[in-house]
Amino acid sequence: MEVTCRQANCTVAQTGICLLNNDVATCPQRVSEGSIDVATQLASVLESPAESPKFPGSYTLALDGVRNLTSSRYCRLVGILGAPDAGKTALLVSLYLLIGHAKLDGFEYCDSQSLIAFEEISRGTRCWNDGQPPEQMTGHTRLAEGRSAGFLHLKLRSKPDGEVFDLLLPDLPGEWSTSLVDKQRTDRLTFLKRADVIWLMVDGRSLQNNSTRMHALHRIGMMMQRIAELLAPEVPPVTLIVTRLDLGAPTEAVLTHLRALAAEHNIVNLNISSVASFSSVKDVKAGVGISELVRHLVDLAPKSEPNTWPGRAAISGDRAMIRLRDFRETP
Amino acid sequence: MTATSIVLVGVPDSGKTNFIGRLWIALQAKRGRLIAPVAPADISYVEETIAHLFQGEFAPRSEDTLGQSRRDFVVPVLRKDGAGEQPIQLVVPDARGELWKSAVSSSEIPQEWMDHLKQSIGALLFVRVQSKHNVQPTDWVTSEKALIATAPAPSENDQLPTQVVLCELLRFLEFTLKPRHPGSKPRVAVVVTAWDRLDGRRRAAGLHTYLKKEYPMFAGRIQDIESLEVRVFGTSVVGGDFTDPAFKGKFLETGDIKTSGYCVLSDGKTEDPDLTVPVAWLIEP
Repeated sequence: MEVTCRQANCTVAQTGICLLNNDVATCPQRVSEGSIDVATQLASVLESPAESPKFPGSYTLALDGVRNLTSSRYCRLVGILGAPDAGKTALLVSLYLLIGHAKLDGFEYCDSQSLIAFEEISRGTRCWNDGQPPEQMTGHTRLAEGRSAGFLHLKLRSKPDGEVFDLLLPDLPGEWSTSLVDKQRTDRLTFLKRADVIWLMVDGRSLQNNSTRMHALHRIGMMMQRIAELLAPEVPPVTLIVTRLDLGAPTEAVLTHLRALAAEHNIVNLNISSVASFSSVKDVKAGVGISELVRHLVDLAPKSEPNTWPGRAAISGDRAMIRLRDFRETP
Repeated sequence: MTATSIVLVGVPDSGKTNFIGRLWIALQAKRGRLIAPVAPADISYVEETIAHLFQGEFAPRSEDTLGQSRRDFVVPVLRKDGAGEQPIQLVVPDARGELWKSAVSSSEIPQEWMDHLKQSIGALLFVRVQSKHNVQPTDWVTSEKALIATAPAPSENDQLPTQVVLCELLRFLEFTLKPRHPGSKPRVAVVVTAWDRLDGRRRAAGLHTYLKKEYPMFAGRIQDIESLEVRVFGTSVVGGDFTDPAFKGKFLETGDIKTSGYCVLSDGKTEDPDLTVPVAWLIEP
């Protein structure tokens, strides 16, 4: 059996001579192989901190979370596209602030499964990691760390009719829209095929300025083309949202041009709205135009009713249950 | 004796401690819907609280004064109109507001509190009128600055609005409370404390109008929720504000704490001198 020693620098294992000149067989420092307490040697120096139980967080929903939600009730899904500076986040934040201040005309808050995500985005406490937008939606339903690409959920009640409806609003980096136009990258945006409406957002300032207007219109046209290619033959209604209304509304000529672009790309159901998510002037209130946007969305007919028995045609004629009752009633 | 747990939930300074103290006085007075047939062995926690009330002061925030050791209030109660019923051992854990605040910000709660929540058949969810700890919703100016900033907002802005905290606490209760009977829903009594601090016009408008104005998201959530049975009550533990010298002087001179204070019933307006109403509703058979 190999002889080892607890004494530092003792070479008894190599030389057979005890550093303390003890008898090797009886030296109190000797450790025979079989006597090593492996469990003690391998024990952690520090105990792991006790983990506290967690409640499910109310963060953005990934696709699996969306599936869970939509399996229980119809949710209106909005596809939000637009360049990085188009004002997508500002619109979501302003919508949330209107709800939080009970200023979303015609609607009341009911619930949100993404309440903390809304709150943190509105306070700027969650940013895309180091300014790097995420490449994909993550596989987890809800994420506690960092700003993740995913869906924000809202349940609202319409006044005065009391109709309750759910909205799913994607919180995605603008780069995903840019890569849709520039590289026809559609793999991350397949959820758009389920969208009830597409909100195509454009920075209103770019349509005001002579030096940027033509390029902005060109990019909108390209985005419309990509949307039409991706979603044909069932292109949902498209709402073109011109942001920064506080700095001026688009001219009639611009609106005409936008309608022509939509027609060119077979987008037959186009609505153009102007919003001011925030405002730098007194005459225009922050959040103006957003209530109308939500009203338009709610007034759209749902894309499809949930199909309870997919793949089965309705059976006409005598139903099995009726026959069973007839049988039981027969003397 | 059947042990029935309810849990007190609320952020710091939401009025939990003063309510429990006044509840103890009401149970002892035997004039309300619930009575305490005998005094429990350990009443030090509530006695400390009501000592402040008898001196014309509200009990200070538990976080500021009490040590870290937890002291639950365990009291046998009987329904006054429940002739022949066995007393129910009411267990009200002493949970500090910081615990719930931390639970909302981290989505975590210590195991013992998760166990308490899961054993409870109902909850009192507190919100105090005009608390200096109430946090208003973010406004457009603050939010725009935060969105423009390249770095995350500084920590002083790291306060969740009270209405968001209340919605999250209600969501936690949805996940954890157990029904009183199979087929029933767990109950949550939302208790708006310090109701007397509102002026007559706002009190007359009622509890629901108050919540809708101050916490519109929370009010909407209460109206929409299906998995819990929620009722809103208002309370004033002594019927006035001890910071008002006139009220305090009158209370100390001629007042009787057993007849002071009231509960606003869930119709939102009716004042009832019985402070046991919210708990009686939670545990009614």
